[in-house]
Amino acid sequence: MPAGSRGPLAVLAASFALLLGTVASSVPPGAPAPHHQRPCTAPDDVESRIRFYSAQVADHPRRYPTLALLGKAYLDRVRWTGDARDLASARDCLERSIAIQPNLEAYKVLAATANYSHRFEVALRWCYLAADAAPGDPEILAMRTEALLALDRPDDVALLLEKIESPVKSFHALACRGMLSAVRDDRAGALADFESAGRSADELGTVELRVWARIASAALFLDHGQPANAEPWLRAAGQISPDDYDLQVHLAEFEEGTAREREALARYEHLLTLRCDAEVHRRACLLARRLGQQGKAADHYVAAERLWRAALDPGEVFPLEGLAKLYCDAGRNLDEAITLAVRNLEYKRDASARETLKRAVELRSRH
Amino acid sequence: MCSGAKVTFAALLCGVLLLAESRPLSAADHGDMGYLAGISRNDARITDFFAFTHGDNLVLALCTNPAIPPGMTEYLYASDLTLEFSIDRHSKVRYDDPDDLDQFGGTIVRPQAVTADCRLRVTFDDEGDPHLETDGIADKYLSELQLFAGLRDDPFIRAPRAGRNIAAVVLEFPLKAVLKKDETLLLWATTSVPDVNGPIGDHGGRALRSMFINPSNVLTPKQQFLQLGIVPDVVILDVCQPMGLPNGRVPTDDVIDIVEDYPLGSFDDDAPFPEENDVPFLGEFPYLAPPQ
Repeated sequence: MPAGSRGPLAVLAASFALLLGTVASSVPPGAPAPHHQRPCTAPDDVESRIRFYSAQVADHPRRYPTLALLGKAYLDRVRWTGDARDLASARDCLERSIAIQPNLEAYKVLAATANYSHRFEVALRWCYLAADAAPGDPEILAMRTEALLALDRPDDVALLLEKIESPVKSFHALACRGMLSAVRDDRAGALADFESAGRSADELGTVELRVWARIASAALFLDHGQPANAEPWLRAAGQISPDDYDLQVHLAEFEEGTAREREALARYEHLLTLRCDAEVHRRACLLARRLGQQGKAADHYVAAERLWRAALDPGEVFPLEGLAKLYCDAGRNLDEAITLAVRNLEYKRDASARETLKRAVELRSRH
Repeated sequence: MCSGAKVTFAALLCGVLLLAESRPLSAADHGDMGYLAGISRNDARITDFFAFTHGDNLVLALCTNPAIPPGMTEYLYASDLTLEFSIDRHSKVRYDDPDDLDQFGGTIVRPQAVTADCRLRVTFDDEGDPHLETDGIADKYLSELQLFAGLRDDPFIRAPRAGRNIAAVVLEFPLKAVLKKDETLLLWATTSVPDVNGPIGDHGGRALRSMFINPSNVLTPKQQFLQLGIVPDVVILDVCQPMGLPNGRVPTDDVIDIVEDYPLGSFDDDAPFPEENDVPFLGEFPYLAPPQ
């Protein structure tokens, strides 16, 4: 195909589109099922919690704390399965819980569920109720910060931090201020706060928080195309919890950034044996395409699209941005990419959401 | 490739995110079991435990749940929650050590032998109605027993608990139901809820003790001594002496002012310090102030 008539991206997109139509039916016998056909399961501890709390609630439907715990377990499950039905189950349990008796636990998990599903305005409403019940709760501060940053309200985060904790010294407050600084492009400030958060987490001894702080520091450099500077932080996180999922995702980004794309793809594919993660499928698709592995790229494309569509169709909004990006990456369905990106801005207004729309419009104008 | 979006607070909120940091405002056992908060069972967290006599009766009050949303006018106890009051009436206590007298209310002669002779166990049905079971208490005294379970004003007088409510179970019954030869009782309270990996709960004894010494909250008083080498976390109550810390604990006791070995030192956050609860306590059963 002459380069003048269609650019390389369009050529790749065309051959890729052909592959999409055939990938589902061309699995050789004995080969692992394509990603979009693999089942998504949660770890045993999540499933055992669901079983335990479900049994309790079946016998005692007014046991509101257990309903809140069951809702939390479903939210934990959806992080592994990506299945929107688990989100619906979470909401159902939590709303039943507060209908029996308002309680902090259900408010907090409702806020977390709303954040997960990108209903950030809703998350803020639940956070306000939760904060009324537990004014100093640092997890509520973290959820409010997440929602406010997603809604492009960094000044409100600053005001909130000033009101809740001054001077800032707890782990969550440091992490929140670090995120705020990162959004404001104050990388030095963000790094200082994440380092302090890491020290605070070390004192607490909580593995997840210790790892999070180090990954956050690494992400500052990865985001700015400086993977070499991210390496010490990734290594430090790996010494604490080498199998941490978010760490593995960032290690894959690091490998991509240091010209080790095959290793990065292998890492993404390993992660996809653990979780049904549409975003990781999208990244794997991009990488595979760059490496010329069109069959694999098509497999990941289908998997990502199916996961996101399966959530979008019943009314979830969190797939809007990811699906728009997927279509932009592939250079196809660009009209729909724009529609998705515009709709996404009703719920999410941060830089990533704005960039997605801008990119979709630019690509569409070139086609 | 922008990774910022991946480093979200999702990782902070997934699973159990226990914050082990102590909160200076959570004094007097004020919901100090972070683990219970971490697994979302604030209703099982003990905020205060009171033990005192009123006339010829013994009064026990257990306050729970520091996170009740404001504005609630009723409270439903969960039907899987067990609240238990334990009374040791056999242990001997000496009063000749002034430090022990100030810190603990006396010296338990054989801490390794502290065990419950009497127990009062409160559970709730699916409609929230309380049910009482007892061990070591003759039935003839139970007809005189009063039980209250519901919302009360938080008796902790320091900010920011002013205006907040807790859930309280209050029992009042004849002292002679539990007192035998000695005039001294050792008392403590526990909560318990079932969970995936076995029951979990909280321990309430003397104010400002077990909350600061891990893992005493999950041990019996005897185990606290045997495993941690600490004085068992119990309320020492000499029924012949005036009521009030260090002898028992009455609602008006400002534990922050009174307890001399408060590990976090002085408490300056809400100076000038309030002298009394924002809502007056009742002079009769159930003694704790009505909810706000």
